[in-house]
Amino acid sequence: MTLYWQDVDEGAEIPSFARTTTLMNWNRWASVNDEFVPMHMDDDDARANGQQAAFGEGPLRYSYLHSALREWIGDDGDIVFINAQYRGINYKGDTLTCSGRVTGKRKENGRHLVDIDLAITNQRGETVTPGSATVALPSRE
Amino acid sequence: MTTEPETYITPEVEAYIGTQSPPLVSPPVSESEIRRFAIAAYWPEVPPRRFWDSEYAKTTRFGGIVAPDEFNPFGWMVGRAHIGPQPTHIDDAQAQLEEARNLRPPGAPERYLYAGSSSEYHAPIRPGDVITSVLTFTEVYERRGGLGLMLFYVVEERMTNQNGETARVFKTNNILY
Repeated sequence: MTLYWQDVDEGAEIPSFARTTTLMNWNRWASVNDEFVPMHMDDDDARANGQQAAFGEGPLRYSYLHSALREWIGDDGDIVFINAQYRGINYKGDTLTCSGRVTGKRKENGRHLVDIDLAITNQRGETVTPGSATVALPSRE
Repeated sequence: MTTEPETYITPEVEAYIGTQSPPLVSPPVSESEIRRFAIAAYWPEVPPRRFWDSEYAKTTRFGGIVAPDEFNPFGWMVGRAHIGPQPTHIDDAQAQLEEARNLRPPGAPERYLYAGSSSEYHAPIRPGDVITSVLTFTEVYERRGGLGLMLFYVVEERMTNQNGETARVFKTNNILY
């Protein structure tokens, strides 16, 4: 179903997108990116580098924010811009929940844009990845 | 233990701003790469059909399969030694390309943190596209914090397709301390 610009209200929450992350997620991500960094696969290596255990890749969290937006805007919307900051560590078994709130709507160069504040929060309520995005949606006009 | 300097932003680091990497050119993107990337990104749930079902994708406004916005066309090729372990050294050209794409400010500390990233998306990446990446070292600043003096720097990666269209402008925010 198409999400139109006119149907989005400022302050609205986007549907949440959650993943409980383990080596199943991280190793698949490593394999499609050829990103076999030992700290993301091996607890001993991570400990030798000052972490508690192996931890998930930042770019996978970045990808989850994209997926959260795509699940909301569907095939007819576009991600125009997105940013994210990596603040917390994502350990094995953490449930990462992406959430977003619409902060503004505008028209620019013929495009109908929506601005969103984003966050990834873990099961302890810690915001591990704040961010923001702009999407373009089709218009009923 | 070495003494921390008053600043990491030396004249050499300032002169490094604007340094560009040589281009890295992807092999043609395939439908299978896109499908595998989408499955990994959405695991364990099934990714949207437009990333893997070519018949469905024809019915969308794209007219065919497109890659997820954040798709990486440069996995499993040379020139990426700064990302992680790579195959055994192939030749000097590979070594030089990898060194030139590392873009670390001269004289900076070794310990690294990936602080954040941003992306602007333009032309979608499709099967058959050949993507060229050029990196530019664009910005440097420093802050003092819990880890001592930290050097922040920004690298901009511009990806263009075989038609010269910009596909993506991806910026990484990095910390050395």
